[in-house]
Amino acid sequence: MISFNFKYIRPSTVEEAVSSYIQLSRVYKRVLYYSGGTEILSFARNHAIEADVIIDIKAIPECRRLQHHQNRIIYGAALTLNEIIEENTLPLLTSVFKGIADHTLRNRITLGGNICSKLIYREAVLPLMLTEAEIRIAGENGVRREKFNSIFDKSLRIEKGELLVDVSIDKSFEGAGFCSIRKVNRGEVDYPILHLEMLKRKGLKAAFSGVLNFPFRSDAIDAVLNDNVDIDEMIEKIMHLIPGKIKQDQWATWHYRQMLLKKAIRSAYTHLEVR
Amino acid sequence: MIMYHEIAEISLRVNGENRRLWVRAADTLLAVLRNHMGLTGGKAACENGDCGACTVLLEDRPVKACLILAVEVEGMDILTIEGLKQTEIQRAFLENGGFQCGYCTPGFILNAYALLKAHPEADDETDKEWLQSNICRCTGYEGIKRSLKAARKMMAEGSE
Repeated sequence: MISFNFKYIRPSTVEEAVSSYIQLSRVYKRVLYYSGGTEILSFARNHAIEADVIIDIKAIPECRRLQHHQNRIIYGAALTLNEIIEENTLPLLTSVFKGIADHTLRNRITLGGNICSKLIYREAVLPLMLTEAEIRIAGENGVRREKFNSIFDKSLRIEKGELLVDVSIDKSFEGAGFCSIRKVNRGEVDYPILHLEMLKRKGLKAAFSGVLNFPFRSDAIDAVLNDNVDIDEMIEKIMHLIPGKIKQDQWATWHYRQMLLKKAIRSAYTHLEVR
Repeated sequence: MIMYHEIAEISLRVNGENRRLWVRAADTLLAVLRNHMGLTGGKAACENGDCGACTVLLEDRPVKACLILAVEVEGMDILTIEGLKQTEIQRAFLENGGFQCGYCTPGFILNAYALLKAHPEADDETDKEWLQSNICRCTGYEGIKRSLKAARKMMAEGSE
């Protein structure tokens, strides 16, 4: 049971959503955009999140479209992960999204919700980091387009009241080779203790989740991956380029994570180089 | 634009019937089904989206009712275990030992029902992917898998 009350608003346009947020923020302290709701409701039950107003974006057609436009594929922020998986527009996206939560939850978890999650994993960002995705963000001054990698640094760097409308990816990534390695502590449905996505297209690129307290990719790591050095030397160099201290928690010690990370890089690299 | 204050009157379509109800905007679908409508088949177990005991079908897709607001699903078709009658999957659970204590059974049956409808000829991989959304603490998974296969066989024979 959620023990506090809030108002619920369901706008039908992006403009309505943003203007509602701005106006209501003048009166109420805690206004939230709401998409799939799985995280907000589970946090609300434990008082980890409180809200005075929630703005449900699922009735906004722009946030719900999956559309081919010129050479890009556009994914609305309120599409569920299963809706994207079922369309299977890009095998990399399908593969990553199938690892997130369980099948039933993926009928509610949305692309935008996962990208903006308060949890540290945010695995939906991994393919976006690797495919030079662009995103559209709506705010008080209209809609702007940004390169995903220029606006995502540990989390999505958008202003209060701004709304993630959609994500677009170049169709040419459809045929790119990739390797997914996702390790969990036990079973199959769980948060990852390591998730590595490696993509081969004009060289290799890698993105990581579960290793640090945020998902990441790095130009320096990608440069080493394409350096043609001995594989052991390459892995050691990458270890020095991890942008933070490897996580240690009840699911895995940092030693274990580091060992998994080295093995995962070796497997993905070997797999893609052979290809 | 639709706006509900803290308390709102909404219309829900559950098991083919329309009902008008006063709910809190913060009420989950599970709370409304159980406490306002007396439909207690879906269980309030983890209430965190982990166990699947509260599974219902929303527009034919399985969802966890503990992580949905009732106000979100106004006008949509909701199917609870009480609305499922004389189906192959129910018969198969009875005949193949698909349950032990029975607490998780409504969630498993609804998920399996949706699976059979969406993928009548699914492979083992798809069955596993869907059924991983539910937990049975009696660990009766073999009986559940057996029931799913038996229901699929009944459906195939029925359609011949």
